[in-house]
Amino acid sequence: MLRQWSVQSGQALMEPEPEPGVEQLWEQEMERLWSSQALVRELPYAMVDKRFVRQLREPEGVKTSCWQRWRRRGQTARRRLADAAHRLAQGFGLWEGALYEIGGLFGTGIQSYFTFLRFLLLLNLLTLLLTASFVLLPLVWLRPPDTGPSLNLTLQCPGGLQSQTGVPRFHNQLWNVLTGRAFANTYLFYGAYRAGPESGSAYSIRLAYLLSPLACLLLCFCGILRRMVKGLPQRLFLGQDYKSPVSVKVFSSWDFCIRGQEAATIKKHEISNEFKVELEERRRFLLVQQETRTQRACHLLTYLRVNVLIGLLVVGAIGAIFWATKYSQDNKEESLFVLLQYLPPGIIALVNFLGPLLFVFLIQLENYPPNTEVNLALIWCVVLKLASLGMFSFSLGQTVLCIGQNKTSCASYGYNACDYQCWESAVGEELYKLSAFNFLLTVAFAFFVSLPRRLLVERFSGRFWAWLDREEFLVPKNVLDIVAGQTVTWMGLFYCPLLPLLHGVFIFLTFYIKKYTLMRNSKASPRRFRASSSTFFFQLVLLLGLLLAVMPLGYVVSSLVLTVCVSQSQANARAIRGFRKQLVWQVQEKWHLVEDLSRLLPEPGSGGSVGPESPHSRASRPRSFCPGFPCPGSPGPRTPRPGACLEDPARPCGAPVPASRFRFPSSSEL
Amino acid sequence: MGGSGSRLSKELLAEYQDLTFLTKQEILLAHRRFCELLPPEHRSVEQSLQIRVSLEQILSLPELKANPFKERIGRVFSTSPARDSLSFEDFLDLLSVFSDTATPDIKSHYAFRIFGESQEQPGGTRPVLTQSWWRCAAREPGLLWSLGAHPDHILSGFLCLSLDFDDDGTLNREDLSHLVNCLTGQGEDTRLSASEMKQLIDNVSSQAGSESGREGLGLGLKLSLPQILEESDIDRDGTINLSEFQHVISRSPDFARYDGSSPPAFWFPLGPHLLHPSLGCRDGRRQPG
Repeated sequence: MLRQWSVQSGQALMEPEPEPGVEQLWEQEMERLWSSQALVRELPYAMVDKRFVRQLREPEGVKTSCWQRWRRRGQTARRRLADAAHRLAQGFGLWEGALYEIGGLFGTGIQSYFTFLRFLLLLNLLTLLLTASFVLLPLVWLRPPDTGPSLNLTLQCPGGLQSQTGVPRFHNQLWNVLTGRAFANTYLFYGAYRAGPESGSAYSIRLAYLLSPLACLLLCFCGILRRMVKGLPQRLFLGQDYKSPVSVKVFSSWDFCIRGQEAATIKKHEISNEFKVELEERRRFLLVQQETRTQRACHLLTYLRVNVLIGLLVVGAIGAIFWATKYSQDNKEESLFVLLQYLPPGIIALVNFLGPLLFVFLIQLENYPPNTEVNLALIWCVVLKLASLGMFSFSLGQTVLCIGQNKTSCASYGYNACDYQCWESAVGEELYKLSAFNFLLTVAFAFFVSLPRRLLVERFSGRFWAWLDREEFLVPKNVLDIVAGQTVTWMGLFYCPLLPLLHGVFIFLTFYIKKYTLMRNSKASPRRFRASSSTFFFQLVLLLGLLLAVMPLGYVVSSLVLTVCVSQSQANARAIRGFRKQLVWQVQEKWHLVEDLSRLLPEPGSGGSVGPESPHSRASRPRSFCPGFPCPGSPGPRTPRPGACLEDPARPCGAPVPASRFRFPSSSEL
Repeated sequence: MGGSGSRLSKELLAEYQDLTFLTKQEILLAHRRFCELLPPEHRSVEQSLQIRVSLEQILSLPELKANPFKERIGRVFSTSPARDSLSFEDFLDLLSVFSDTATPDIKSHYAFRIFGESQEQPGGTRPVLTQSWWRCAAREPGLLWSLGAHPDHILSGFLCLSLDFDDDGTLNREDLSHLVNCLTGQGEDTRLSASEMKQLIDNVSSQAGSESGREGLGLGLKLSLPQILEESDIDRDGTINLSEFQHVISRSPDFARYDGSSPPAFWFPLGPHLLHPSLGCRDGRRQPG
């Protein structure tokens, strides 16, 4: 068969004749290829051979029947649709060129951060779309009547009522924008969403407003979960050890997307570090296996010691945040207005800047294996970040909603009505400030820290400058920052419905700022960061942030629903009581009328008066027939709360109840 | 897309789509990139299908320029006798294997071939069939190393690797150490020392380990560390053959098909940008100094 082919090709082989066994091998192989069902494109041969195999399989030329052509068209159409859907899901091809460039220059580890930014932008836009279509548009369309401020504060507030939305102290436009006061009456904050009483229309805006944050959070949750699961390696849990073995690392660690020489050098550094770390780990593992029991106990104690120390630091940090928030809220109208407004975000930023440095320093004092060091530092950074946000929202809740406190100002309305006329807007303002501050900090760091650093390092040479070097682009740190911002946005969905729009704008600008920082002012970190495990880590932290944001929102919505229900039932009870009193009063009026009428009739002579004749009765009652209102001697003027005087024994109620022939039942009998 | 004269015919496009994993857009883009490498007078469609481009030119593409395996890749996909040039169809094969829809099987197959390539040039002579070649073909019926590489020859796809594999179509210690050196680079601080290399690749038995352990890591302990060969060499013959390699690779999450958010290993996208005559100005950064 081989000779047949070589004759067909018209070429003579110039090699020595192959052994006879070879011919059999070839025949076997040809048989196998001809009869196998594998697609031609999946065969690991060159194009010309694949063409030959295809010819073998379909010797009459590749004739495609109508059915095959239709199927192929269907396949290509399906493929094109899948590609378009994929592109759509990835953000309409937004920033494709930039991502391609970053991936080529720095590898897929750093590119994954920017892809994550794009994903967050999409989430925010989706949230905004949902909110706008279910709350904003109906509100603008239906235009319910403006009810005006419905609160009539009558309670005694310590220090007197301060006018919150009056003329601000600082007329500076910039500070108004930064603190959110400039937007206080726009749709950005809760206060502007006024809906009149339900006019019986089919669409309940109140309900929509209440439910849309929850729906958005649910959507985000599903989106993140889906992305997380897709990114999981399929055989993660099937292999005997899910730590990928060294051989796999050796064979699959090169990043073929890299297109620059510098990036290649960086990647080689990374891989080399990885191998050395791997060897180090195995050496330590063996050392550990040969430890005695006391040594193992010692190690466990040092491990505990470090963790407890770091835990104490974290507790101290969030205590500082708690104090700062309370101080800022309590002293809202001080002269250091501006500084105090931004005190909580400032303290949070400081804590999150110093904290990781301290953690890393402490952890490195102990001699842990490198992977453990990295993981431990990362976990504690995540804990610190989320705990600081949680504490911020809790202390806000404490000052505004009097959770766990017994302030008199909170008692009647369920929130601190003295200091906050519209507490939702106040909370929204705080979250707005936090979000804006985070963004401003990003900008400030990019232009006032990284840029001068790079300029100085390039300009001067010396040991210090060589040691200082450009800033490292640390992916975990940047990811934590952006996840914290997203958590704040989610927390504020209820109070500040357009906060996703704002945060989306921030993310858009952050992309370009970070890209600029990466390209010009920083160097890639040689520490290893594999893309596949890292995207899982990002989604996990994002999910934790979402769960953190759900808690205060859930608390508020559920208590709001409860107070709505409770107040509804209270209102019902009140209405019932009012009706009862009305009924009593009307019955009493009727009896008075009857009495008057009876007096007009001739007296029967013998006493028929049932009750004791009050001495005042004849004297005090004028001999006039006044069925109307008000009648002196009647239980009282026909006020809107006719039962008030009956209720309150302390208030004088006009004349005492006159006795008459007909004893009318007293209110207590009704 | 260029003038209408440089477009491939519909039948040819359909055929290429059938025989590779590339989409129509990717094939047209590849054709455009390939034509840029040709001298201007040979850029017509017919000529682009006939002419072969030298290896140096192909390896100067930005996608391959920084790759430590670029020569191996070029040689594996080349079908010329001296394996120093690629035709357009070879180029398509290359891109097809590195595309995102290629099956993990074919990727691992080519990965094995690329890692097994050694650095020495074949010296321009035509490969000769040897006993070892047939032994390898006998053991792996899937591997059909063909004879010669004349373009008109029907089975010209695979070239005999008997000159290039030091033994039988497997990866042995030298191949692995060469691979690791490619990965870690040649810088002083990045390359692994000999003892580290030995540890990484071999199974280090207790006695041998104590010496190298002492010099490399400063310990006098008995080390028996499972390493690459230990993990992958199932039949314990000291080398890794194709099926063992494919088995190991299948455990890597990066080698799975590209549906997740993270890109797989052994993949690069073909960029849309035109080549510059002076390659290297694609970098966005100013080179210091």
